[in-house]
Amino acid sequence: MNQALHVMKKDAKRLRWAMIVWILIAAANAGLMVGRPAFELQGFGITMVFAQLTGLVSLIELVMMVLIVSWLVHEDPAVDREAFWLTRPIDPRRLSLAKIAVASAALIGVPLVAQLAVMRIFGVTAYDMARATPSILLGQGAWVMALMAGAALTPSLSRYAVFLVGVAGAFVLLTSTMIAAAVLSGDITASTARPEVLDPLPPLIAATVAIALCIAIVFVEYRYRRIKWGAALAAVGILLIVLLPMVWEPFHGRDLPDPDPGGWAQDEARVAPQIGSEPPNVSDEIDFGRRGESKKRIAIPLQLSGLPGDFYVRGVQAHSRFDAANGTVLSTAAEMVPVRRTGRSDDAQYGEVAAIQGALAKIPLRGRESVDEYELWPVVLSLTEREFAQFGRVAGKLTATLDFYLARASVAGAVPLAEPRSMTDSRRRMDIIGIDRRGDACTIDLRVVSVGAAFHPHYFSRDEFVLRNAGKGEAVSAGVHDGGLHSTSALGFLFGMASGGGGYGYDSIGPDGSGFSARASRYRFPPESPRGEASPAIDPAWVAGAELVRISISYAGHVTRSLTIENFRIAQ
Amino acid sequence: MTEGDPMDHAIVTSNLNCRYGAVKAITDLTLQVEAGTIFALLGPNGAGKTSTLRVLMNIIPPASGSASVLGVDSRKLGPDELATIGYVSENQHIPRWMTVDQLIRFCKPLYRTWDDSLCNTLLQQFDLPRDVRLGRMSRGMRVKAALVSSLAYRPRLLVLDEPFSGLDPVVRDDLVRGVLELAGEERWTVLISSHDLDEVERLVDAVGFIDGGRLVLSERFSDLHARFRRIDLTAPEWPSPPASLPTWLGVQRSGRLLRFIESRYVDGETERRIAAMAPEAVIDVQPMTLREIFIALVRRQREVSR
Repeated sequence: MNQALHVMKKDAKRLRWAMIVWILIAAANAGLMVGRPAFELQGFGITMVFAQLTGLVSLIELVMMVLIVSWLVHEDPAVDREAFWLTRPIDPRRLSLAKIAVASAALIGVPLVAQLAVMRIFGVTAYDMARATPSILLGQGAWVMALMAGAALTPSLSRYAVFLVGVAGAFVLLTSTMIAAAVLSGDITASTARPEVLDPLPPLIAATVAIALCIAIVFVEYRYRRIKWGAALAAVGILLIVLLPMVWEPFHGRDLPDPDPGGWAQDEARVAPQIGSEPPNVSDEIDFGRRGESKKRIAIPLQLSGLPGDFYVRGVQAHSRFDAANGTVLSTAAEMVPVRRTGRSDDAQYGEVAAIQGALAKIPLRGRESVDEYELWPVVLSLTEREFAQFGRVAGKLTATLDFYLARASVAGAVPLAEPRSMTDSRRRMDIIGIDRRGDACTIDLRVVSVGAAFHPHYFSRDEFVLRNAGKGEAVSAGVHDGGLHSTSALGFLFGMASGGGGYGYDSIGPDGSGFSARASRYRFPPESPRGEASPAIDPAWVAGAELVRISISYAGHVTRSLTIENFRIAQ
Repeated sequence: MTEGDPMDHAIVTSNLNCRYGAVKAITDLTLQVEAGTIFALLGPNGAGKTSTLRVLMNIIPPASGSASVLGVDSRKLGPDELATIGYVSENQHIPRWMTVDQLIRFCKPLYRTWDDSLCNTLLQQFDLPRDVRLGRMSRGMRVKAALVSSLAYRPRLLVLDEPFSGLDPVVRDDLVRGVLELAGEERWTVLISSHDLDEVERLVDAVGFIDGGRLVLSERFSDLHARFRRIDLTAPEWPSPPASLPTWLGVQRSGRLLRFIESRYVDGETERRIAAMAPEAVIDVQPMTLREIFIALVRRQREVSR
C-alpha cells in the first residue's frame, strides 16, 4: 500500500499543472451550470454565446481528460518494453491500483464534487444528492475507466490517439451498420403506444460491468503485459453487455405493474370504442427495406367514450382481422398513424388539453382553442398493394382487439404568483425566478432542478403549467420557451458538436430521469397565437389574483376493448 | 566456459528461445554467467543481444527453454528480485520531467539497500547536477542519472544494454570507469551488451558472442584473448603455400605475405606447427584486441552463413 501511495504522490506531482487546469475546467463547468437557468432565457444572442462557451469548455474537458489519462498511464506504460518501472521493484498490482486511484480521484472525484456543489447551490438536499450520486459516479466512471483501459493497451500518446480514433470510428460504423440493417430488414417493431418503463438500472448495470472490465483490463495489462489478453477481456465485456440482457431481466429494464385507471375502466358499457363518421384514412406504409410489395395502412377514427374528464388516450394498439366476403382473412397487428384534423376546437394534442381542463374541474381553461392538430388514428389493417386492389372496395367484417393506453392530467401543486416560490415533488423542484406582468399577459420564468434516483423505475411523467384565478373562475394555458441548451452527455456532446450544437457541461440527467440537471423555461400566459388570432387577455388585476398551477401528466394504465364492424369498407 | 556449481552462476539459460511473431530472436541459447564476474555479450546488430537481456529481465517471455536469474526463474522475477538487480538500457524511458534529485527521491524508497553515500559519490563522480530536469539533459547525462539510480542500492546483478552507444569518448570513459570499476571492486555480477569493446575490454572477465540469435562462443576473456592471434607469415616465395587450417580465420595472401587469425593459438606449439608447414617462412605473432577478435568472429559467421 505504501508503494501505491508512493507512486500516487509521484503521479500527483507529475500532473499537478494538469490537475489545476482540470479543476479550473470543473469550476467553469459548475459556473456554467449555475448560470445556465439565468442565461438561457436571455435571448437568442446570449443563449448562443452561452451554448458556444459551454461547448468550448466541454471540448477542452474532453481533451484534458484524454491527455490526463495518457500522461498518467503512459508515464508508466503497461505494454512498453522500455518502460522505466518494468525493471524496478514496483508491484504491478500496486502500480495499477495507484493509477486507477489517481484517475478516480481526479477525473471522477473532482467533477462529482463540483456537481455536488452546484446541487447545493440550487438547494438540493443531502438525501437527494446521495440519490443522484450513483448515476453521476457510474456515468463519469465508465468514461474514465474506458479511457484508462485504452491507455493501458497502448504504449504512448500518439498510439493512444490513433487507438481512440479507431475505436470511435468502429463504434460509429458498427452503430450505423446495425441501424441500417434494422431499417433495411424492416425489423424495427418497437411499440410506441405502450409507454416504456424508464428504468435507470440497466444503464447503471452496464456502466458497472464496463467499469469492472476496464479495471480488469488495466490490472491484467500491468500484471501480464499482453495486449491480446486485454483485447480478449474487452471482447468478453462487450459480449457480456450484449448477452446479459437476454438472460438477466434487471439488465434490460424492470417491468412495473400497469397503473390501474380505476373501477370505471371495467365498465364496458360506459367505456367503449366509438367510431367517428369520417372515412378510413389510407396511407403508404414506410418501408425502408422495400423487400416486397409496398403496403397500405388503413386507419379509422376511433375514440374511447366514457373516459373521465382528466384522462385521455395517448396511444392505441390494434390486433385486427378482416374477413372478406369471399372467405379471405387478413390479419394485422399495428399501432397508429397521425392524421391531420384542421380546425378542431377540442382535444388538441390527442386530448391532452381536454384532460388538463378535466383536471381543473369546473374552471374553464382558455388559450388553446382553435388549434389545428394531428390526431392519432389506430391502424386496423395493413395490406399489400395487391390486397388493397383486391379488397379495397369490398365489404367485410372487421374484428379488432384494441388496447387503449391512457394518460391522466392531475393538479400536482399550486403556488401564489410571487418570487421566490417553489413547488417540489420526489424528483423535481420548480422555482419561480422571474415574473413579468404586462398589460395583457404575464411571463413567468421557471427554474426546474431535477434529481433522479438511480434505482427508481417509473413511467413517463411531465408537467404543464396554467395560471388559475379561482376568484374569476378562469384559467389560462401557456406558451413555453425552453432554454436553447440540450445535450446531456459527453456522447451527446460529441454528436452535438458534429451537428453544430454543443453543450455538455454537468447536466447529467439521462433519458431515464436519473442524475441531475437544472434548466429554465419561460412561460407566457396566455400563449401567443400562431395565426394572429386573438388571445384571451389577462390584465394586472387578473394576474394579481392568480396562482401558478402545476399539472402533472402521467401514464395511467390501459383498457382493452373489442370492436366489430360488420360491413366495413376500406375505401368508401 | 567451464560448468560449475549452478549456485555460482548469477545467470543460467538453457535452450532458450524467443520470437516476435514469426521472427526468431533467440535460438536455443544456453549461457552461464558466473557470479561476481563482468560478462560482455557481444554480437552484431540484430544478433539477439537485447532480446536475451529482455528475457532475462522478464520484460518479454521466452517461447521455450528456461532462464534463471540469481537463482529465480526469469518469468517469476518480481519486486523482491528486482530490488537486487540494476538495469540500464540505451532506449529505456526514464521520466524526463523529473530532476535528478526527484528521480533519486522516487527510486530510494523502492530499495531497502539504498546507500546515500554511494549515491552522492556517484553523483559527484559523474558530475550530475541535481536540480536539472532529465529532459533538458544530454543523452549521456541521462544515462549517468539512470546508472546512479541503478547502482546506489548496490545491486547483486547489473544488466546493461548498450549503455554507452552514441556517447562521446569522455562520457564513455567516465561511465566505464564509474560503473565497471565499481562493479569489479564490489564483486557485483555485470552482464553488459555493448559495441564499445575497447572500453569493455579492460574490465570484462568473460565474453559471449551471439549471432543470428545463437550463441557462438562463451568463455573467459583471458582464455579468448590467449587463443586468438594475428599471424603474418612472410616467405621469399610460396611454391606451395600451406593449406588453410579450420582454426584459421580471415586468411589473406598478398605477394610474399600470408596473413590469418589463429583461433586456437597455443604459445610455442602454434609456431612449431606453422614452422613445420612452412619452414622457410618468417612468423610474426601479434596479440589481438577484443574489437579485432569480435570483427574476425563476425566475418567468420557471415562466411559460414553464406
